[in-house]
Amino acid sequence: MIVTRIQWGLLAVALVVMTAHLLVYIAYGVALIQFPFDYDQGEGFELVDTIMLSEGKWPYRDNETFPFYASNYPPIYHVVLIPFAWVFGAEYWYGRLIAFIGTFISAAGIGYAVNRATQHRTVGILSGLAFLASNYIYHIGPLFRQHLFMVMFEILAVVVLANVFELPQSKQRRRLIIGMILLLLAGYTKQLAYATVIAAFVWLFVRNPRRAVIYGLGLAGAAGIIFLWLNISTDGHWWTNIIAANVNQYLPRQYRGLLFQFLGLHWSILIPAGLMVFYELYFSRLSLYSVWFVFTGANTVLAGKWGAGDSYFASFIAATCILAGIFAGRTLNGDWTFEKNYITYLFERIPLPKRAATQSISLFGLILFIVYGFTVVKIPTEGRLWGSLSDRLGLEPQLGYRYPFYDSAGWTEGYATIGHLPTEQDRNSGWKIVERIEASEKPVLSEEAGFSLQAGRTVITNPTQLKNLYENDLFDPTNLVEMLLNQEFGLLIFRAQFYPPPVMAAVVDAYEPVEVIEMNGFGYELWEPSPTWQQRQQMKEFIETAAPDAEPLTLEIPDDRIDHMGNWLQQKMGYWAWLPMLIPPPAINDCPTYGFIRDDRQVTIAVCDNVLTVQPPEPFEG
Amino acid sequence: MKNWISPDFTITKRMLGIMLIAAGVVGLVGVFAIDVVRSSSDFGPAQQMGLLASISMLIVGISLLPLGNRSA
Repeated sequence: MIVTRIQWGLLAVALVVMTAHLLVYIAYGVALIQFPFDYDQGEGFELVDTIMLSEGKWPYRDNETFPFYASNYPPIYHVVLIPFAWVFGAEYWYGRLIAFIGTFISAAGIGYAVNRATQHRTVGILSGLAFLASNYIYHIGPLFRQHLFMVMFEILAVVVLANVFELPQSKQRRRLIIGMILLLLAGYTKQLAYATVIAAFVWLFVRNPRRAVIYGLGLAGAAGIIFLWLNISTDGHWWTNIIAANVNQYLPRQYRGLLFQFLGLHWSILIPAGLMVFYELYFSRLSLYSVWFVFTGANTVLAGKWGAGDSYFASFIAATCILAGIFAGRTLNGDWTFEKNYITYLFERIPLPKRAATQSISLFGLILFIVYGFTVVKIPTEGRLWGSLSDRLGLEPQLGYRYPFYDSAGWTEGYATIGHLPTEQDRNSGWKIVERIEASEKPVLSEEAGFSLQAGRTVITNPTQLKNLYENDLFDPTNLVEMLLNQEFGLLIFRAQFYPPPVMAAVVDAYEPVEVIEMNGFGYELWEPSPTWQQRQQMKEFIETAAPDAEPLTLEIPDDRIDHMGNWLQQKMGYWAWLPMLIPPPAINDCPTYGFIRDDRQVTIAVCDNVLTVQPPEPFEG
Repeated sequence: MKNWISPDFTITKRMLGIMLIAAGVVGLVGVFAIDVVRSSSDFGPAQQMGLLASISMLIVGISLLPLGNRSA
């Protein structure tokens, strides 16, 4: 009796904690849905994909011609959003809303799976809420990103397939087909779903190899036909952008950091989930949930790819929540049976008071959920409600954090530092950048698509995609570099400068930063065509090609904003890897003279007011 | 083989154990064969993870063998 009361008490505490997390999540989602610009890098490009598809165009295109844009994600999430694009145009809210709703469908799927396995509805609700409470799910849940939409399809597929062999023979076929369709949808939402597809087929194979082969061939055939159709329709750009561009550099340090962070946040639900896998492996039959847990756990290793991050743990978190929930439900129900084997024989040798052990275990699962609730705390720390609440709780942003947001996860490489509520100031900053774009008569290259979309301009480049392609020798930046060097863009907007090195080198040559506008804790740099580029271009060509006996080159630098011509010259020469000589050459015509060395050559430049006299390069004599 | 394609056939714990052992052995061979193919003696992070996964599969596979013909 006392144990039952304690159980219900713990259940109530766990529910209260998870509900508190849910309220923070809803507040964050509602705030984010209204924000009209990129909140996380990449959102705008998903919107561009949606708009292109709504206009009947493929977003898998040639990256080497204007506007140098292609998508690296499959289309299902964007296809779902097409009706919204037709009605509302290029807006962020509907993509975020649908993704946000998708996370609730995921949570409901997890809850349903736990309830079905344990007949314990409250623990089912708790498990679904535990999914939403994870720091990793929280901050990417309401984004205009396809990742959690893929996780939703994965969860639905797993839940649909998990009990297929418990159904009468006549219903199994239909259920299997639905499961296959959901797997297909997951895979064509994001490629990462392959781990779930493999898990589903390994489990099907263990249960019945015949069905695994038949349905495996069916799914592979359907997926293959769609793949071929997409590849032919896009002249091969599908393959380049979806498959080849995703082979990125692997950063073991990033994965190690994320793994330890993940374990630190989720250990209390990983323990019961792991015990559940152990139980099924040695005392029962393997469920799809356990196999999924193992495969998605192994697949988190890809979180170490450049451009990947904590979101790669989302499917694993879903599997963990289901297994932890089933563990908790079964302990509450006292629903454990242990077939006699060598492990039970070993345990029987350990002298444990059986009654006490059973009662402790029945509370164990719930206590771990409560511990989890207190481990994954995150809360905005600004505003009337959240400011006073976080003050009362004694929570404040960690040292060096850019946003008014407390996150128990801390930070590690690859962890998205988001989660705060966007402010009015962030909105105003976004509109200020839009005004700058509108003022430009030439095309504008922006690292984030949102500003260009709001200004009604063509979105030019998808930077990370170009960088990935460039690093895989699949992108020739010549055309883009030429446009930059010809100053064909009126304005460049950067946040992280995730462009291929030759593109950034051209930017640094032909443009210069004129303004920094803060939004969402990031400094957005605005670059305009440099008024001195034409002269520097002449100088660059001269010092690269002039013979030692050539006449010196005289240039007038038309920029009255330069405070110190010598410093300016050293900076610009530094961009071309010319290092200043420690001992300056003798003055020419009483003007200060600067010497520079690169490889085995040296060049001397005299500066008279705003006139440069560049001597032809000569061999460096030490 | 006829059994394997039967509509009611299911993998047993022992079969699963054998499969995991086989996968573990293939994994172990692969982990060390990479060095031979690449002519390199650096044991990289991918190899470390592969080694860990292969040894885990071997251990779990061996531990399943005594469970015999129970359905996996």
